[in-house]
Amino acid sequence: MMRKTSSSQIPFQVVEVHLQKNNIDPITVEVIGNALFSTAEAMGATLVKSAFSPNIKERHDCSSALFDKRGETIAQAEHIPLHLGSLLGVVKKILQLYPPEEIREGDVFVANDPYAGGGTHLPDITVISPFFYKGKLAAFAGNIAHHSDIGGRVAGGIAGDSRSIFEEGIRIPPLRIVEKGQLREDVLKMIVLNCHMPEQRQIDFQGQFATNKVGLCRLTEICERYGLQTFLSSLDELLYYGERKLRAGVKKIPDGEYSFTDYLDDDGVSRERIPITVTIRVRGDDLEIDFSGSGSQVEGAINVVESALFATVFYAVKATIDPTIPPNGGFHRAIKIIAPPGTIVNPREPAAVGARTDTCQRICGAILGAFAKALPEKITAGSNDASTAVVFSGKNHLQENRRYVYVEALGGGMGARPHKDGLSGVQVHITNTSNLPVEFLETEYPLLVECYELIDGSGGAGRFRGGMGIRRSIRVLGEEVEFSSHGDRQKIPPWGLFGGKEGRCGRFSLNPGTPDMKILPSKSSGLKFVKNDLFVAETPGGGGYGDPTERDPQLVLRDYLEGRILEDEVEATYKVILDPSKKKVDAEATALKRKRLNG
Amino acid sequence: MSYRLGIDVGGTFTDFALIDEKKGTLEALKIPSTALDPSEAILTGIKKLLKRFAIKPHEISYLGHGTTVATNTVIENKGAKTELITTKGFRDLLEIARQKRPSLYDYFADKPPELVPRNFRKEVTERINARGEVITPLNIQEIQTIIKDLKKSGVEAVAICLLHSYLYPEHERVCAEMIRAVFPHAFICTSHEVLPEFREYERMSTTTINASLGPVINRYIQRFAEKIKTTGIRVKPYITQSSGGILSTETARNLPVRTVFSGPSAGVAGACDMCSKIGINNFITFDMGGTSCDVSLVNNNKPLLSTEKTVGGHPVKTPMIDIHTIGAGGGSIAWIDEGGMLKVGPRSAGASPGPVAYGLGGTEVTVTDANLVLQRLNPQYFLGGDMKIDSRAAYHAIAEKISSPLKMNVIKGAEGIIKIVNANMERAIRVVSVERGFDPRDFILVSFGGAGPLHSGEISRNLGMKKVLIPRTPGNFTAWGLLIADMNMDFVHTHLVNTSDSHLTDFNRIFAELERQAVHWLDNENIQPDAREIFRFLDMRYVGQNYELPVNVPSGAIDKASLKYITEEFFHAHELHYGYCIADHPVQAVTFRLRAVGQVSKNIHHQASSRRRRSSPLEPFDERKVFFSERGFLQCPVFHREMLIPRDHFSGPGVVEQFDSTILLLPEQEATVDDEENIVITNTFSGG
Repeated sequence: MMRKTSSSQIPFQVVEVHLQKNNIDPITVEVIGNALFSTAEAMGATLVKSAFSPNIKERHDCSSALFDKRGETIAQAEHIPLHLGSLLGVVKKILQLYPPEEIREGDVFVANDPYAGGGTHLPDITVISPFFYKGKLAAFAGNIAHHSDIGGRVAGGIAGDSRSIFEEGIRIPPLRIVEKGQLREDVLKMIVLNCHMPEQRQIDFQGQFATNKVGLCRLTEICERYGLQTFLSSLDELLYYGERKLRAGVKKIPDGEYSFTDYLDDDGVSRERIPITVTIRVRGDDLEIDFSGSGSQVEGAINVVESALFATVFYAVKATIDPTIPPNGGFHRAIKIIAPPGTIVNPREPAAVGARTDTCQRICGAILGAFAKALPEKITAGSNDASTAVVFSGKNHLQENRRYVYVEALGGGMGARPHKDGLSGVQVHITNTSNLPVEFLETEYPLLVECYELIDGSGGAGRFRGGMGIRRSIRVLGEEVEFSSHGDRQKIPPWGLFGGKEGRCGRFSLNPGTPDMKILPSKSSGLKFVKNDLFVAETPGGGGYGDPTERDPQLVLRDYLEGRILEDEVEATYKVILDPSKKKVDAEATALKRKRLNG
Repeated sequence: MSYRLGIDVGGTFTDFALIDEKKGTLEALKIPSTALDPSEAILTGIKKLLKRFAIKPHEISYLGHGTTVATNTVIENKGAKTELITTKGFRDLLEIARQKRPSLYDYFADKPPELVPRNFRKEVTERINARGEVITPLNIQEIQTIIKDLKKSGVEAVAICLLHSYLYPEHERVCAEMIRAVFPHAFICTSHEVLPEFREYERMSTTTINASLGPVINRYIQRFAEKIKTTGIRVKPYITQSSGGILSTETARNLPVRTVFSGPSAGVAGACDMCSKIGINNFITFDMGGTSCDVSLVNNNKPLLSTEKTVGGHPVKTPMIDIHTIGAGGGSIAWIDEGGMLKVGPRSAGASPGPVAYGLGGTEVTVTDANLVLQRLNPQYFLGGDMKIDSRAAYHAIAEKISSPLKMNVIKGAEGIIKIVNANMERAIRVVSVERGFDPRDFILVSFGGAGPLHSGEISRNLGMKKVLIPRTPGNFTAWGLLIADMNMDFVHTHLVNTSDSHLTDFNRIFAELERQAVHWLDNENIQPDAREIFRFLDMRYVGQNYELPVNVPSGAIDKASLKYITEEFFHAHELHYGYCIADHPVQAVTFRLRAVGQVSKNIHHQASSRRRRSSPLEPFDERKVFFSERGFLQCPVFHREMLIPRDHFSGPGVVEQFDSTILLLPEQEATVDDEENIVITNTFSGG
């Protein structure tokens, strides 16, 4: 019944394959790279789940990574680009302090200090475990988590107006917290004793340890399957791969020198604006990024240490040139970064760094501004380049006066893009944390959120409009709350590009619309709010891209109907005339008005 | 005579499965889907089946229908024109979402398309606090203004989502009643009915999607039912839902959001049924088709559930099987990136233009092309021989696009494509197992979908899994799953309460209320008392955490002992998922869940054990050379699935061909056919 198909008639010649043992091919590298990335992701998932504090669990303010035995980053689970900064140097620092022969299986290291190696600001605590295969040190697994409190002058450790790192919390140089599998309780106790909420810290640490264990198990499996030699060769090849990808992208940029200067509002201590100057030099596939000309290091807490600068530069370069470049240490070889010591982008100890996010955001903006001249189709106009972080702390009268710390970082408008409007209400660049649900927040803390909305008219006008900023109003229900913050772009707005207008500035205020209204500084600490006070945070809108009079009138109408732009912008800025019903564009009148303008 | 009919409409094919209830015999049919009007393919298929097996329409005693209409409507943003009503100050929540941007590094990635444009998101002055107390009463006048505007707007559906409504639904109820009084034909839904759980954004998104789907799904079901009627079939159809069960059309019309992830869920339900019959309780389903691969883990014969999925970028928090989907299938495209690395997917050539070898204009190399070059697929037996295949074109495409840039020979390039797509799928299996605290080596791989059995052998071996189970018709398995699904419905209530004895009355009161709702639903669905089942769960966490774990709750009144048991279950779950637990930290119940099940398929012989026995020894009908990693081309016996009968046994390497799939058996793998005609492949691992 069955018919024989003549499978001998194969339509092409069969090629016999010679298997190449121990000779690393791109397919094995891709498969092992995939396994390593999946390991980093599994670690990230473990960390989010096993942590205790909402900051890690709910806001995902954490990252995980794998390193080769020299401390180069190999794979990172991408939650927060800036965390790469802490991860970049930490293993190398550990290797400096502890020679490989002193590192033993079962050890775990902890670190958070931006100057001693292992952090970009103190609340980010890094935990690193060496990976041994058959008794040989072969790699490292590590993770970083933002602990919502690490002691210091102000709960939260990120007050914008701290004047030295000693005010910002406990400093932990790279040190061994687990020795051959044995937790050093004394060290752990010393650390958590310095924190406002020791119990939460302890559980979060447990989560961080568990996370590395997941990584080590998986690394063992990978080595068992492919052999140590193939594993190690793959790590090397992955770094080269990262470098090749970056160089391939750089090669497409026209050779030349591109400069841009952007400014921070102030450092929270003085009222001076601070320049961030960047010069990008492209020659063939070499890229040099030079920060000469940037302001001196400042008294306030917005200094950016070297590792944070590197992570920031890497983010901006990767996002602009090719978002698929793997976040590994290979890019070091293709980018030269110049940052004069003693500047805000490479400060000397003990400059305060707690609120460095605002500066990192501005550095990204400046890099984009410089790239705009070479790659106008690949960048955005100025964004909500601030972190707008607020911290409320106090006692919850509804929960047996338990102490709480509520941290929130608010998004804002993204700059308009070459062919699209900017996104509204997002975090941009090196941070990407989620908000805390209002219904969760109100259940846990004696606070009431009265509004959480986009701000009408906050996006910069342009052929493409900047994204809109956010307004979040929080009423104090308890007797007293201590408040600290850091934000920026509250005096100097996000810039527009190629004729696009600026976005709206952000603002912190207390009790607006009442006789007691107060505008609060962008960087503050220790402010006391009392019962029924209403705190309102408004975040910046993004800048526009291109001339607003070139915007499609139908998009202007839509924005008007949706309340995204203000009524007076329609005619004054966009030169669009609506018909008397205000529901349609008067096309003729609009064309005439725009023509007159250009004629 | 009576028959059960399952119809699963997919993107490429509409699959039919028909079971003779008495004899238990199964028939399958696959016909091309008609995207514009899916019912066209459905009617064609039904007529074909009825004719082919001489069945009278009234002999169809049950009709199960799986559809991706809801999924596609959301993904393609084709929902009905919808208005959202929410608490003053929060209309933009739907757009701000959780504030995260869609892509970390890509400036040009966009947020998902807006479900409701900003000027159709209305605010009403009112406020309930976190203890369920009204702190600002509902402003009736504002609702009247909203209603006035509604009249002019052409809106078909209204979603109402107010803050803390899960604690105090009265304001939402009043809003809905006022609108319904003026617009009796509009589709109106409230968040406390769709999803009475806390976390406002996810609830708002789920409710809004439900509203925008309402008119679309109602029209679809209406049309479907009418078309079915024209065939003479008299039974009311059932629709699959995301949690694996089925819904009556009435429930699906009110809660269409529950069908959003129904596509692959029937396959998992089918696997559960099949496995329980042969005594397998722990397995991972692996469903690989042309475009995507769906995997899920089943523990103790219960699929893991999830409430954290998104569709088209929008969160949908209804209970659903925890199915992890990645872009890996026969049509996945292989390409080389700027760094010189070979990548496969997530883009797919789909069915059109399809792989290079289809000769339909596809120029990009796909997984299917690689399988042809490795001779794992038989070009002469594609879709049972109905499709013309050009292996030579596949060979040249791989030579030119993959192998030559990578400086390797063609076979090595094709092998690389398979290795990489397999690695992607292995990673997906790790996500549903390792990341959920399970070791894949303790599970059996249940492999189906047209392409599944071709890849599952290698994947199972790479993951250290001991066995692979391949059902009789892997390519039509999802349609078959529709025949055996039970009805189920979930009832939830969020109420934060510590697990101390003093709150016992709270626990019992809330579960009693949920049970009352469940009984009401079971009554409405005419489920007989002996076919009813009720399961209870609690989502629990440590006080101060904001992440819950589901815990089973025993039946009966909750007393001190059962509360202690539940708390200990939570500790176990915490230990399993996170690797630690803290026995002295206070524990909190957050969301109360109750699932009511109505067994509609009870006592039906849906798949009789085969009594076929062999009289002469099993012989392959053909032989061909097939490529295996680390071995090269090996001469392999080729079997037809129809030739195989229970207790047949053969060793790898080998190939089994059937009209809907191809099974690859590696060297050192053993295959046996069980009494249900499943093929069981066993891996042998050296040293254990």
